[in-house]
Amino acid sequence: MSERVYRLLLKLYPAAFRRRFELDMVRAFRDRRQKAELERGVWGKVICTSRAALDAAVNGMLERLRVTDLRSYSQGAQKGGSGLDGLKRDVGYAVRTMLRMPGFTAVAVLTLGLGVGANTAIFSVLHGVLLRPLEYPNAERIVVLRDRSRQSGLTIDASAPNVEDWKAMSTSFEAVALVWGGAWAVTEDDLEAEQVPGGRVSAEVFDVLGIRPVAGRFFTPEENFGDPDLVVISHGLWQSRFGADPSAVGRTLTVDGRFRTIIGVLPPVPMPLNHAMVELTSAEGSHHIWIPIDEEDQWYGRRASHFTLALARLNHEATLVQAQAELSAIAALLEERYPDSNTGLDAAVDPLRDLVVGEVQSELYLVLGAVTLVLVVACANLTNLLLARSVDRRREMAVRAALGAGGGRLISQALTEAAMLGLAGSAVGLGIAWLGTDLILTFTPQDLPRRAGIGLNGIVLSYALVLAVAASVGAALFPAWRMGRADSRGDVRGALVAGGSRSSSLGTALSSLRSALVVGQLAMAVLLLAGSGLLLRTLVELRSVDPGARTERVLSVPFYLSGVDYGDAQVNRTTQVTIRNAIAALPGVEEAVLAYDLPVASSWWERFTVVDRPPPEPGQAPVSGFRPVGAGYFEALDIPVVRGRTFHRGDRVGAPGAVVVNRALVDRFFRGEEAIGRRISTGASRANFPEAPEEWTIVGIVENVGFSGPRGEYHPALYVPAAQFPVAYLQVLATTTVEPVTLVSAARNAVWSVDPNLPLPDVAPLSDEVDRLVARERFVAVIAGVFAVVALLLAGAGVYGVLSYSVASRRGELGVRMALGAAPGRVMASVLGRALTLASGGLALGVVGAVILGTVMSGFLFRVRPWDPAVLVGVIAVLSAVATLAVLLPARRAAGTDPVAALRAE
Amino acid sequence: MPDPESLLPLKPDVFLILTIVARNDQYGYGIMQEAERLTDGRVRLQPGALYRRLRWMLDAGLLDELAERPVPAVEDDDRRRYYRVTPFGRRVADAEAARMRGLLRAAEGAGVLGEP
Repeated sequence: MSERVYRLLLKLYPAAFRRRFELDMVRAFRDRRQKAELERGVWGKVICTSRAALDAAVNGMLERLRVTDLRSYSQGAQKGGSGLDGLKRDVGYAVRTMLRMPGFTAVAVLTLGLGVGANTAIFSVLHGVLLRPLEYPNAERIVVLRDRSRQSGLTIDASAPNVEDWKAMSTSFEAVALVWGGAWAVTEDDLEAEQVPGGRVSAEVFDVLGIRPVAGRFFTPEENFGDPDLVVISHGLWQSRFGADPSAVGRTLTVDGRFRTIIGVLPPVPMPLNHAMVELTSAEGSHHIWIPIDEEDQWYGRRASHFTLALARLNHEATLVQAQAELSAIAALLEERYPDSNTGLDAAVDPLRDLVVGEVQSELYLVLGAVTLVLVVACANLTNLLLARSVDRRREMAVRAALGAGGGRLISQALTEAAMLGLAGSAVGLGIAWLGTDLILTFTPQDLPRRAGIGLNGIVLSYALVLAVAASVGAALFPAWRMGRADSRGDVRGALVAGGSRSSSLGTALSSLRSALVVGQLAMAVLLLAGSGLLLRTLVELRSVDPGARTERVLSVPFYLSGVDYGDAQVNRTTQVTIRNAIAALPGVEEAVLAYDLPVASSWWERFTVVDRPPPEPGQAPVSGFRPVGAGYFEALDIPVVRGRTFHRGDRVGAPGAVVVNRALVDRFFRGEEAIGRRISTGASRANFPEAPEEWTIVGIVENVGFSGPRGEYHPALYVPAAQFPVAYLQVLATTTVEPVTLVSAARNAVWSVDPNLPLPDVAPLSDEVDRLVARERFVAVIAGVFAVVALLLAGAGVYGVLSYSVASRRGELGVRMALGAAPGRVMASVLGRALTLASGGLALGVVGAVILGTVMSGFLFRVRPWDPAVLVGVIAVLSAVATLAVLLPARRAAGTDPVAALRAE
Repeated sequence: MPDPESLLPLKPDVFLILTIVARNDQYGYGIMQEAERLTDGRVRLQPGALYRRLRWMLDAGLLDELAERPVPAVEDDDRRRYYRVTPFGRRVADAEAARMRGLLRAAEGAGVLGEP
C-alpha cells in the first residue's frame, strides 16, 4: 500500500530521472521501511514512510524544476542548485498571485487552517500522552509484573509474597522492585497539613527506573525492611519547601508525625504509583515522597492480598516473550505450592508504557479519526476552490504556455502556489491549535495519564507544518494536473477565446467531479454528526442512570488517620465519630455519616464464603464489594431497604457480626433462598483486624447502588458496620440543605478542630465524583461534537461554493431562459433541485456510513443503538437545513438574473 | 576535466557519499546504511534526496556507474546499480578535505574552539 503511494509520488520526478533511478529508489525505500518496522514497529514504519514521502515530493519537485528550467531557459547544469532559482521565481510568483486574489486566499487559508488546527490540537494530546516516550532511560525495558486470572484473563495487582518469589526464581530481570502506593501527612508547624502521595518502595525501584538522585542518594537494599526513618522527596517538594537547596539533604521532614531524614531528591520525572503516573512536570511541580518498604505492614505477608505494584527491568538478553514464559512457569509452581491463594493465577509481564496509557488509547484514536475526517473535508473544499480557480485562470495559463512554459513548469508553479497556501494555512492552523489545545485541556479528564506533557512543542509544530503543506499540495494535485494540460493540449487560441467566458466549455466532467467532492464532504459531515450524536446520547443516558442513592447536595470529607497518634482501633474509632459529630453540627448540614468509599463506586473487593455451604475449590470463592459504613448510612443517602434491618447501636465490637447485602448479591448467590439470617465469612476481616468478627450474619437487604463502572450490571456488595470493622481511612458523607461546595472550608475547619494535622485534600461535593465517572465519555462527546460542527460548516461552505459557481457559470443560460419568459420561481427551483440532488446523495452515503460507524464504535455506546433513529433523524434535519441555507443565496441570485445584462456579457 | 576547485564547497551529503563510495563500490541502500553507521545515526539519507545527489554526482563526473557487479552475491538483485568514485571524484574529495582542514586550522589558530 505505502509502496504504491511512494511510486505515485515518484511521478513528480522528470521521466528521464525515473527511467534511470526509479527501481533503485523503490528498492531502497522498501529496505529502509522494513528495517524501521523491525526496529520500531508500526510507528517506525509510519514515520519512515511519511519521511520518505515528504522527501520524494520535495526532491521530485526540485528535480523537475531543474529540468524545466533547462528546457525553458537552456541553462547548463553546472551546479546542483540550479533548481533553486526556479523555486525562488515560483515562490515570488505564487506570493504575488495570492496577494492579487485576497478573497480566494483568505478562504483557502482559513479552510486549511481550520482543518490543520483541529488536527494539530488533537495530535498535541496524542503526542503528549501516547507517542512521547516515557521519561526513563531505555524505558521500553521497564515492565510491570502482575497476577493474572487464568479463567478471565484479567490482571490484578500482584501480591507481595508472589513478587518476592518471582524475583528469587527468575533470571530475566536486572532488577525487580515493589511499590505500595499510599499517602502521608506531611506537617510543619507553620504550614497547612499536606497530604502527599508516594509509596513504600524497595530500593531497587530506582535501578528499575534508571534514575539518579539530583541531590543526596537513594535507598540501599540493606535499608529495605529495616524501616529506618528515611525519606526520598520529589523534585517539586524540594523546590517549594526547601528552595532547591542541596543542604535539604540531611534535614528532617515530619511524615505522619514521625521525623524522617531526607536522604535524596528525585529528578523531575513522573514516578509510577499504582497504575497511573504521578506527574511531576505540572506547573506547580508535584509533591510526593518515597519511604523504604516495611515488612511490618499488614499487607506484606498476605499472599491473597493484591496491592503491590511490581516493576522490573528486563536484562539485556531477555525479551518480553521470554520473561513472560519464565514467569508463567514460576506462577504454575506457586499455584501448586499455595493452592489456597494462587489457584487459577498466572503471571503477566507488560510494558510499563501500555499500563500507563493503555486505557485511553482507543478514545484518543477515535478522536483522531474524527479530526482526520475534518481535515479531509477541508481538503475537499480546497480542491474545489482550486478547481474553480483553475477554470478562471485558463487564459493566464494559455498565455504562459504560448510563451513557452512547459506542462511541468505550469504544474510545479501550481504546486508551489499550493505549498505557499499550505505554509500560510499552517500558521493559521497553529494559532487555532494553540487555542484549541487549551480548550481541549479544560475538557480532558483530570485522570488522563501524562496530562502535564500535553502542549505545543517542536514535534507538534513540525507536524502542523508538514500536515498543512502535504494537505494543500495533495488537494492541489488534480487541479495542478489540469493546469498543466493547458500546454499539452496546445489549443492556445481556443483557450484564449474560451478563457474569456466561463460558460462555454467548463466541461461536464469537471462540474460532476466538483459535485462528487461535495457529495463526499456532505457524507463525511453526516458521519461526524452521527458519531458525535451517538456519543452525546450515550452521555445523556449515562447521566440519567439512577445511581440508587442520593448524590445531589452531599459533601464528602475523606480523611486518613495514620501516624504516631493513631493505630489503636479504639482511638481511631473515637476520633472518627468526633469528626463526624463536628461536621454534623455545622449549619446547613442535615446528617453526617461515615463510610469507607463513595456510594457510587465500590473500591474494596473481597472474596467471601457462605458458612453453611460446602467450601468452594481453592481460589474459586466469589468476590464482592466490601464496604464498611457507619450507622445511619442507608437512611441518610436514601438507599431503600428491601427487607430486614440496617445497622444500629448494638452492632459494635464484641457483638456478633452484622452485614447488610445488596440485591445483586442475593440474586446471584441466594436465588430462591432466604438470605437473611445466613452467615458468611470473608478473607479480609481477621487477617487485618483481630477485633473484627469471624463470621457475619446477614441482617438486611438493600437496593443496588452505583453505576457499577458506570455501565453493565451491578456488582454484589457487602456492607459491614464501621464500628465492627475499624479502618483507618474513612470519609464523612454530609447531606446538606445548601450547595455542598459552600461548606467545604467550614467542613475542613471542623475536622481541624479535632486534629489540626490531618491533611484534607479531597473535600468535594459527591456530584463532582459522579461527573468524574463519566468524564471520559464527556470528553470524547464534546470533542467529536465540536468537530462535527466544524465539518458541517466546511461542508456547507462547499455546497455554497459549488452552487454559486454553477449559478455564475449558467448566467447566460439562465438569462436566455428568463428572456424567453421563465418565471424567477422556476429558475430558483432548478437551482434548488440541483442542491437537493447533491444533499440527498451526501445524506444517503453518509447514513449508510454512519450505521457502519455506529457498529464499529458500539464499545463506546451505552443504551444507544448504532442506528439510533433520533440521532439519524436529527442529523438529516440539521444537514438539510445547512444545505438549504447554503443554497439560498445562489438560488436567489439566479432568480434575480437580469436577462439583458447576462446576455450582453455573453 | 574541469578544475576540482570549481565544485567546492561540496554539500555535506555529497562529501559523505563520496567518502562512502570511495571505500567500496556501493549501491543506493548500501550508501544509506553506511551513512547512518558512520555518523551514529545522525545522518539519515532519504532515497529521494540521495538519488538527486547521485544524479548530480554522475553528471558532474564524480561517480561512474558500474557495468559489472563487484560481488556477485546470490540474493543480489541483478538490476541493482553500483557506483564507483572516478579519479576526478577523488581529486574533488581531496580538495574539499583540504578546504575543510584549512578552515579548521584557521579556527584552531584563532583559539575560539573548545577542547575536542
